[in-house]
Amino acid sequence: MRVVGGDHPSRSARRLAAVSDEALVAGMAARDEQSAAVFVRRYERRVFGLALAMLGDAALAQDVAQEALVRAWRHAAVFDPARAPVASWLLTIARNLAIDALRLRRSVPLAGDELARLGGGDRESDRALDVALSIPGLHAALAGLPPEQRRALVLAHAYGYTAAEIGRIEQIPLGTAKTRIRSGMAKLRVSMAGEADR
Amino acid sequence: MTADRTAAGGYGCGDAAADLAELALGVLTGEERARAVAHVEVCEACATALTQLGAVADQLLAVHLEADPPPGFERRVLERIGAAGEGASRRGERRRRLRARPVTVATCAAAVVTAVAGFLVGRVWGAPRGAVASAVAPSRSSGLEVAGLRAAGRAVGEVYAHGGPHPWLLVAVDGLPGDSSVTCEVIDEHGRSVVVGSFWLASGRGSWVVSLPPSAGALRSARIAGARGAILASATFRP
Repeated sequence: MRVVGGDHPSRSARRLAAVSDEALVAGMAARDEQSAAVFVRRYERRVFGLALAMLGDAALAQDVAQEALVRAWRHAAVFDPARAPVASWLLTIARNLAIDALRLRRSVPLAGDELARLGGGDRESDRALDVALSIPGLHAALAGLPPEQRRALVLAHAYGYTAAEIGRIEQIPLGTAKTRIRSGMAKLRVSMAGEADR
Repeated sequence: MTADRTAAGGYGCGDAAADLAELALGVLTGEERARAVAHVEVCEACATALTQLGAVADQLLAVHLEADPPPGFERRVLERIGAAGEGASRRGERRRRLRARPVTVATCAAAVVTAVAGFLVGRVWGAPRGAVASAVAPSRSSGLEVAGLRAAGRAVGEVYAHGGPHPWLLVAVDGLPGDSSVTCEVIDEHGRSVVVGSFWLASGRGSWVVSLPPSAGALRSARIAGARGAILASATFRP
């Protein structure tokens, strides 16, 4: 058994560095700033990395990542560990903020070359995308999707486009856009389940 | 159970099947989202499908590479956190108080119990709360106690127990086999045991917060038992 409370602050901080994500969020819910400091240190690189990947703009990514961590602090009391792991909760906050930022910036539609690289026309960009897919199996799964499903999935996941917007971008009916998203996700699910079974 | 079309205003499983992937990705519009969520709340099959697609969406989030934020990022975040919902003078006072009181996660009780555990208690506790209250002694340390959860000598999680006016227990399991319902039992300093809840493990993982009554005494240990009562793992706070 070990008791966390009642320590010298430096020892306490060291011990906090070893506690679970759930306990840190519980500490933040109780407005404990030391828990928040450890939480920020634990997650700042992941949150900033996600924002940077989605936005491609370091200054904007910094604003988004900062806001995501502040919101985690503000809303820690309503975090429900039964619904999602802490990492998913936090990264979803960051993703939603990044999508909001992208939508504000979206008065200019995606350039043709950007769409082309999503479809596999630019092999250098495809390789960069593949590098990001570092989870074993998921890399192969996304690379293995038909190009039109991969484009739809990346547009929805990384750019926050709705099916209707994807339909307009791709010049396809709404139903087709929805089918591409659904089919892509279904294939990824099967692929991930297969990886987990191995 | 599946929901019929009238349960969610004419929106059935077929409609949900077309929308669940977008719901998991968070790209449904407000009205579409409301319809899909209303259906999922009454349809177990679609809720299960959404959970599976949500796991895919989580994995997609997790694949992005880490990156070093610019210098000063952490300081700026912590300054804003210090300012969140507080006036500047109150913040300074609070920081001084925190320096004098090196409590960390030991202060979790109130918010967790009211916001998280309160919800979970109403939903998943298998034992009546009164049973816990009558089984535990009124003396309890106010610090946060952490004990490793072990199964056959192997670490499979941790149990956090916090006393004070709003005692609570956080159980985090990672490494027990399979998908199954398990029961958590605590033993107090007098050797009395009480079941505090039944929980669901998904792929051997799960974490829950449950509140203990204010009169909760010091805990000696906690145990996780399987559906047939076999002890799967245990954590010892004090021998």
